[in-house]
Amino acid sequence: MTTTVIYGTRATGIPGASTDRGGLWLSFADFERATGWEWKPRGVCLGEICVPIPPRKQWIDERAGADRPRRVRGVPWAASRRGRRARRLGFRSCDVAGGTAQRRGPRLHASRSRGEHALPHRLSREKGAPLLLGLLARLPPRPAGLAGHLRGDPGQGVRHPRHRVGHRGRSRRPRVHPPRGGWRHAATDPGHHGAGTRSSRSGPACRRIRA
Amino acid sequence: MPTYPCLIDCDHVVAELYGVVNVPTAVWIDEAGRIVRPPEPAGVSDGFRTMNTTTFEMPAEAAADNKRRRRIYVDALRDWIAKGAKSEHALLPEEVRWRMASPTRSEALADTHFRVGAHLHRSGKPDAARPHLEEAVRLRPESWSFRRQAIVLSDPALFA
Repeated sequence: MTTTVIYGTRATGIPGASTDRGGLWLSFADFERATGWEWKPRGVCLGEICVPIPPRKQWIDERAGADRPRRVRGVPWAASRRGRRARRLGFRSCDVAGGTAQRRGPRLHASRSRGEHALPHRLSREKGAPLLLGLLARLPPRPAGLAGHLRGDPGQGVRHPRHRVGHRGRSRRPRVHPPRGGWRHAATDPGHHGAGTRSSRSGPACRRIRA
Repeated sequence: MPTYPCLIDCDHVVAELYGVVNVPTAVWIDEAGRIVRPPEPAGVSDGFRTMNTTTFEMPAEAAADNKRRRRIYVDALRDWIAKGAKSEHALLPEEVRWRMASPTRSEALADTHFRVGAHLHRSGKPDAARPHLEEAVRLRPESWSFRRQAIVLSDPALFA
């Protein structure tokens, strides 16, 4: 049985994967092929980021190292319910947090629209020029009877990502902490959209090991 | 036909990496690839909520507020383009870090379910995809990215 492992934007079919004991078990070779991480003497590495693996361990599952929560617990996974044959390893939290710590935008790949054709495009091609990254959604034409579906959709969204809405749609009162250096004035801050909140979750989640 | 690059993020990678949950959202990135301003609403407000859903008219106050916010945002953007890091709107690195949060485990799991759902749907298994898309919405109810995509993918009429 072939298991599809989804990591980032790649989906890899792994014929020899085991789903024993509720986990996904991959050989190191398959793990490297599916994720791009490389097996090195000091652990599995992706660039400068390494996760130590106990010596002589033959197999790795995506939840390995749960006793090292700062290193690999940031890799969540989900499996299809039918046969558990499609697995997806989440982006490492360091893809986001590490990038944030360095204040660098993650490397992005997307399709460049040209008429009806989509061409591969890397945002890194735009390096050297200031970039405003705007995100817009396009919905298909609204057919009759769709109003119920979209009721309550803010549409041209305005809710700040930090303004969490609690479960069952109830708004939570934001906890407000002043940032270092004080608040910016609403009249001059272009991104101001009400009171900001700070989560205690912020901060780098991955440790970088330099060779 | 636009003369600038238009990118289609078929896998919602940008939203996942930057923690974007709604649109329109903008990020400022300088020439060195550093984030100058993290994801934020691009000069918009909740004014649309006051819109009359029958006539699609907005109260004058809300329309004026929208206009004011857009002007502030565009002026700030022009100021950054002209002055670069010396612009008062270019945030300090500490403030950028402060404004950006790492995803919680629940949010990362929501992203994961969403990706599995999208993959299953692309593989021609819409019934298998639906629970994952629903779980993504449940885990991250504030994400209209998930919500809209789940609606579109779950309705054959829309998907067609």
